[in-house]
Amino acid sequence: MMKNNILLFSLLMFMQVFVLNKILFFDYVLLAPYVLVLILYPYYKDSIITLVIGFLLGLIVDVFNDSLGLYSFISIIILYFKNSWVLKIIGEDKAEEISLMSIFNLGSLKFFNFSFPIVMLYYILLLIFESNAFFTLNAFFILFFSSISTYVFMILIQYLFLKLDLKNDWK
Amino acid sequence: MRNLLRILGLYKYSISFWILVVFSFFFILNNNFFLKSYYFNSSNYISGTIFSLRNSFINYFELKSQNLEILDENNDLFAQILYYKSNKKSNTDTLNVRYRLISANVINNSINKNENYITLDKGSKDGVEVGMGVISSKGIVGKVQYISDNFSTLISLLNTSYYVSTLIKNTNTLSSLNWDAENPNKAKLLYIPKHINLNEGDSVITSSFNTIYPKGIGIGIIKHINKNINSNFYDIDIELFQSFYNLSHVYIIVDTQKEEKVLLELKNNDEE
Repeated sequence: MMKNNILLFSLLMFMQVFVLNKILFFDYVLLAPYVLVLILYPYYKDSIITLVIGFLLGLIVDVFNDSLGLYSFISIIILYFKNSWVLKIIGEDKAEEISLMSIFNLGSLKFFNFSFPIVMLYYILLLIFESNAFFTLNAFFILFFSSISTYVFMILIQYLFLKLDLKNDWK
Repeated sequence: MRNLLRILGLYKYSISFWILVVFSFFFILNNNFFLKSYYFNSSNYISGTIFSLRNSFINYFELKSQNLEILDENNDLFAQILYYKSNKKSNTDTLNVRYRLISANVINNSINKNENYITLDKGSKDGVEVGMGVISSKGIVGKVQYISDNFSTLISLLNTSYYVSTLIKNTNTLSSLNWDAENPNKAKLLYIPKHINLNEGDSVITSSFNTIYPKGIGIGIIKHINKNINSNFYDIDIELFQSFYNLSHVYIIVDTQKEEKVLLELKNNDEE
């Protein structure tokens, strides 16, 4: 199971760095598989190691993207936000039980409530630091369309690569 | 002291969060940070090797268009040879040639960010140095920013923090060129006062004011002139000759007299 997760994470990072980072679909859609890595990453209470791993993952994307600091900054903020956000959505007991924050372990509605704000936060941070005009219609369209398509993309990836974990029958 | 340690232990999660945030902010803001210029850029050994591997696959699909481009280039060069032969002006004294070219392949390129960089498969082993200009057969491409043994990273012309000194051919007007992050095929021409008569379609070339590019390398043509803005200068859009969507083969310019020129200018400054 652990091995499979690492493989999936590497695949997502590969897609982010080499394929999807370079393509802007229909002028407004920029897909971000990397944010799924951050979302799926399991919850550990007050774990410094989680933050450091997020920082290092961001650093890897940065090196290939020639944008040192940007993705590491975004990953830390998202992981920090996620750790308190997940408690609001599903509570601490359940959060510690789950091995992977996937749509199968959370249920569709809870997964939407949990992940969509994180995707939005990702694009807001990206737009603030990457584009010099954040409060424009163009930036707003990119935020809107990219968030929706990345959410759909994330669900597709999970149905393709993750199987239903039947042990978690509480949902 | 023990209480202080206890407090630090209680808040170690938040403290490490803020430390990492400060670190990454420092990385973002500090462009000349030594780790960035030596290791953490796309010209380092690992990412350079991976990019060139990827490029060796992708290149197969572009062979046909590349061949056509090289044929075009050959035609132009052949025409120039014929011209020089017929005018008997051919410069056979190779010792006096000021510029030398190193050819290189583009192995990574981006166009959808504000600050775009390009990675090439030639590095310091091939004689590339930081600050050298890079051109293609159609126009200018960028300037070398970071190098490693086998790879180099360019600051692309499509980078909002990069300015090039340019000349409008018809009127001999000096100006600066900068990309405004709007359209990868267009750029802005800056600081041209309104009393100069310009026409749409005038061609824009590099000026001789820098040691990076030789004078007269093509950049683009004036596409649109906006005179009705509240400023002393025109608002000019130019269309670039080189399309950055399919950039594959470029030349790095080695200026053999660069050192001489810089030293002379330094001397001048010292006397002042």
